[in-house]
Amino acid sequence: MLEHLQKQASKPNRVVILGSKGFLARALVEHLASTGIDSVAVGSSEIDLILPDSVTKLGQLLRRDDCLVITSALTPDKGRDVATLMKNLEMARHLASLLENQGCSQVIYISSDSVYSAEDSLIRESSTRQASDLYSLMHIAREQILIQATSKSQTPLCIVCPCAIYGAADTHNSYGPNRFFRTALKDSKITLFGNGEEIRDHILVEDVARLIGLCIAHRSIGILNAATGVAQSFHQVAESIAEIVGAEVTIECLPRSGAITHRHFDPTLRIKAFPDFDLTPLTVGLTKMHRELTSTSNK
Amino acid sequence: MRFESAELAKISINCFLVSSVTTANTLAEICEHTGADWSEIAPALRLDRRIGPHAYLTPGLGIAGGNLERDLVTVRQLASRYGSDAKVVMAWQNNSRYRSAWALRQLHRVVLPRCSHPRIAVWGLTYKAETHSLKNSPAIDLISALAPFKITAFDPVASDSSIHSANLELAPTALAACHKADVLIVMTPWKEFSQIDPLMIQAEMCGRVIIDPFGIITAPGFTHLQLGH
Repeated sequence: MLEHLQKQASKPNRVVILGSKGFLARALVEHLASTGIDSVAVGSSEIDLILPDSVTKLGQLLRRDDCLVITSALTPDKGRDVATLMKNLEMARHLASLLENQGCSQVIYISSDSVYSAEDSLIRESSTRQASDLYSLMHIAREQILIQATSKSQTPLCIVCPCAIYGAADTHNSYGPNRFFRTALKDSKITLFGNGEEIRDHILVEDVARLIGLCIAHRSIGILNAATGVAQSFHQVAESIAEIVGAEVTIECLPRSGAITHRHFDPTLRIKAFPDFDLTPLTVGLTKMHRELTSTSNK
Repeated sequence: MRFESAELAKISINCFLVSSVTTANTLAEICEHTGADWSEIAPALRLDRRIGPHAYLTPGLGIAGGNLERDLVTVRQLASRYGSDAKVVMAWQNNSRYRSAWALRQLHRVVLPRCSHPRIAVWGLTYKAETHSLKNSPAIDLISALAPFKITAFDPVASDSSIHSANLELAPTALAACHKADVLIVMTPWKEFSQIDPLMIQAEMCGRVIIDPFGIITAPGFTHLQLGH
């Protein structure tokens, strides 16, 4: 499911990143800079992919030897409705109309683990894609749109599906490490649904950026799940954060509304593709996140 | 027996073997996480006459060798042609691919987080004991997935000429393969491996981890990882 067109890693001429404001895009820019790779991050204020003129604008920017990383998407916090879905698909339509005719060195599409069925007890890259809501439908549709467009221009496509990403710079207040840290630091309290039994795989944003960097360096094609393969319950994550923050953080349990679901990832493909890639253990990543959050708030 | 039945009887036997092995593999993995021990459960299953004393209940590293895979492909093709539901066969194939990388996952879980460039000893390269065949061998898959690391391997019958991997060196004896190794992985359950004195293994190795899917070694003093335990 993942093939390296370049067995030996090499630097691309340039990486164009769509979605400059995003949490992951910023981490990727930093990572590429740290490895001496030239990159340009393009935000919606420069090229708004929802608008038809984005095709021309991006066409003028994109060079034949560029690697294009697509992180742009309206995330669920911007809306879960049909209008948001259509805007996201409009972006993909414009990208496709460019990529069908103008190829580049490689396209990397940042998808989501939401594309996989919630019923799968162990997710791997070959797992069935099944939409559970309009957001996951959007990513599934975009993946297909890009597969079709890049095949026309014979551009290598790599689809990266990250599991739950955490890191200090995340602006989303989603349930998990990001929200737990904020409430622990602000109110000395972490609130869980039920007892936080749900098991999830959490990955540090810098690790996802490094994995994308490896896909770029090897011009990988196919699908890669950016996941650690080590899943923990939200309760375990909350306990780790409470211990890191200290100062008598309490864990509060609220009645849950939905059924308990778990999500595990099989890391086999990743460890075969990148055998010496070292992941940051969750407690180490959370400690780093805490250090960054508290140093930011102290400034 | 008519010709069609005879052909399908042979395939049916292999499907039943695969289903038993896959079921054993799935439940053995649950044992690994829950503290149960598959070696205590399997004898109870053998007492059930619907399963039987000779049932394929030993967990392994997926289906290898080629014949069973060939028959699974045939069943899928027949199901596709005649519109039968063969998703269970796909599930067996997926499970086999997953199990074949068990040792690799253990290595990444237990050894690599503590030792970024381990010296790895591998015992056994053939797809099963008492054969020369390397076809679909999990050991060969493992070695190719460990390209950045130095591997020293020993196999009683596989020869130099049949294996080509830049990161692999073949040792003249099992103990020589263990010299200064951080981890030993036993990929084929050759009987002679079980007769090697664990103290001699301990004396040769630097590390104290043995990944021994089939439980062929008794190794006190080691972190010993085995299927179903």
